[in-house]
Amino acid sequence: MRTPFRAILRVYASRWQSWLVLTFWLVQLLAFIPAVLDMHGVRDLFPMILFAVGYTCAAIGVQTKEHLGAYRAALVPGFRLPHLTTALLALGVAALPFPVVAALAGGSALGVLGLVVPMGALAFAGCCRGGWRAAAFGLGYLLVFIPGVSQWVKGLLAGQYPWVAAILCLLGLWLLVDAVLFLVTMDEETPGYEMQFRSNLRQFRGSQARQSMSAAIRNLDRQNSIWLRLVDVQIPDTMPYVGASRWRRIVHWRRAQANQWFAVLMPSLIWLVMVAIQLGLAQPAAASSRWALRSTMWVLVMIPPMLALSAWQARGGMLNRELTYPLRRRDFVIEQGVAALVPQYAAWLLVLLAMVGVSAILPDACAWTDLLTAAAVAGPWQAVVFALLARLGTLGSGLPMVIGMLLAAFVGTLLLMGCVVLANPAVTATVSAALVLLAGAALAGTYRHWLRVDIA
Amino acid sequence: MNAACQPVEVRHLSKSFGTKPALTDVTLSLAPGTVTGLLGRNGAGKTTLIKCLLGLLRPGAGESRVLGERSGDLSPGVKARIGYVPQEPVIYPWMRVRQGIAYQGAFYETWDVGLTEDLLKTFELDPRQRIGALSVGQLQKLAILLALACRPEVLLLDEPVAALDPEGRRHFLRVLLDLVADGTRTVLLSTHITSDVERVCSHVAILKDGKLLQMAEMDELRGSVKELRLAASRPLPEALPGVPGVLSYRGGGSSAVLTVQGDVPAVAARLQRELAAEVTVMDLSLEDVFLELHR
Repeated sequence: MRTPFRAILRVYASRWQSWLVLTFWLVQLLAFIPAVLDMHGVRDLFPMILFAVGYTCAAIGVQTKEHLGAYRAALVPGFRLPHLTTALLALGVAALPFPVVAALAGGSALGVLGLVVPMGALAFAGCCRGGWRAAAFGLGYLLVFIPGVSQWVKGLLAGQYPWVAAILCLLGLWLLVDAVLFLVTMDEETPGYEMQFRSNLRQFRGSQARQSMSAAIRNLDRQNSIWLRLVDVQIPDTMPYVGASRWRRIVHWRRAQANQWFAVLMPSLIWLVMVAIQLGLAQPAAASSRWALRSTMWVLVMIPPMLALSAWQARGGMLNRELTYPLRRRDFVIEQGVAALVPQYAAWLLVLLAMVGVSAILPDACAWTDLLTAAAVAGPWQAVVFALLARLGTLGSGLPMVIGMLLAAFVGTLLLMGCVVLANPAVTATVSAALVLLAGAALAGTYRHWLRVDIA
Repeated sequence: MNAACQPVEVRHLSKSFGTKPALTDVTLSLAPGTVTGLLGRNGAGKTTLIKCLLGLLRPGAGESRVLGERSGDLSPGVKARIGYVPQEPVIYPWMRVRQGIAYQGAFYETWDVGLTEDLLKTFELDPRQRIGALSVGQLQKLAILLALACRPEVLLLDEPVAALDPEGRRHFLRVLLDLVADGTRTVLLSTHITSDVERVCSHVAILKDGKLLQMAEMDELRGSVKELRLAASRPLPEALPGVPGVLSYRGGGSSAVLTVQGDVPAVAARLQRELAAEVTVMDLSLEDVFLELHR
């Protein structure tokens, strides 16, 4: 084994994210094998396949882009080739077991290949392009879940359209080749250079900001652009911190966080698309649609505040400078907290309103009592999650935040599911009251913590 | 070595960002064994020039070559002979210092492990420390280490000492002088610290608004720009029209101070003759020369 390959593999192995992705992938694969054997086919397992292949290939794309979207890739001799080779091998390992298992179970390997190759390539290429392009490529995943398309995909997996599967395979390979060419030929002026799926300030700097699509990117990514505009020109006009009312300052902080629309609308849109997908998946079996929505909405209700909070956390680096503004620290902490909570609850309420709309249009899909339970339990839970993540956000590492979010989603879902299944108003009211008390205690504890913590 | 074989060559290089020109018709070449200081105000085009040399940016016109190869198409063999310290080093924050060094070293056949150990000690970097936890100055030191450890023949340094403390700067300059002591390596050092340039550079290139204002040996440059102090028994004129090479003139009463570029002795003699003034020629520091040329 050549030394560069060893070094690259060491890098993969030394990142906890690699092990997380590998674990998820293995769990999916291990769940896939008995499911295929039991069901004698894969036609109903395509969400599982897509999930496993999609996020694994996306992670490989992010990892590859992180290494190749930097000056080092252009200057260190022989840097790109082993990285690309490793990435392509990893993509193969991520995708190919599924058609192999399908074939061993008597299914159509070509049919599965017709799904995993283009979709894996889509995830990889999207993350290689980075920024908003990754999201645009990700829309390809949503298409598969549109009711008519999902039925067709099931037929594809069953081997009913071998020629189409072959063409899709070729398209996927072409997409891969295109992504590789992009990675090899890009330089600092290429749109998307330095961008990874996770947005950051670097992408709006220098030549990147002057790219033809930069205006669109900036408009899409409110989190960065509004802050940059404030930094550049608008602080004297929009930051009357001396003598301004507290609410006016909070409005300012919300602008500076710049997540008010981005954080509220984007998760809500994502949620609505996912609900539509879920409804579409359950459409053939109308009797199960209510349960389908019930089983997912609680998790989805948790998503908006988490995204809003993560957007707020992403600008943690600004806080040290902002703390030097002429404000008392306790005012600063309270205002930052409220400014973060406002879009969080706005997103949550928007989702709830959307659910009311869904319930009005499709009464079978979502019961009013379920909505009331969601409001009573998930509402105070938002504040608990906020307090927890705001505290974890001061630890200087992303890992506790990720674990905290997963844990919060799990516990929140569990509480809601329990209340929905019991359908007992007294239990729901008790849980809700307990959560209100817990939220108050957690917010107070986090507030005290933020008064003492290092913000550097 | 003829001009075609210089380690770093730039011919009529132009580069624009949108409608804003960053470099305009820049031509220069660096000979082997020279250390060239690249000076210029913020936005003068120093970083753009270095990035064009490395192929990180595509020139709009003209071309640049490093070690005989076109910048946009450097072979792995040539890349292995180039060291680069960017203005803002980006090094994987999740790695530890030792891991980051080993990772980059894996791609170089000429990687000098002994030198990395020496530099770790010199720069007082803890190899077990996580890179993300390094200070800006420590990160800069690590970037310098990574650039030097392959023992490059061409070293391109984009403000490498901006974040270093005086001791760190001194260490870096000593390492740099050691590296170029054998006279085979070529260094382009972009910096705002003119005292560092005076200390280590044999040549100076000055960029102004994307154009190469001056490219000369250090002594030649400093010899070509002088301050003249005039003292006369009668009032001196408010200005000196028609005197070639005058960069600035501050006159008042019977004394005046002016800066002259070019044939200084001739100008001094002419002023002495025409104004009946006593002329004293003074040396300027590089910083003064730089400021005078930017007037």
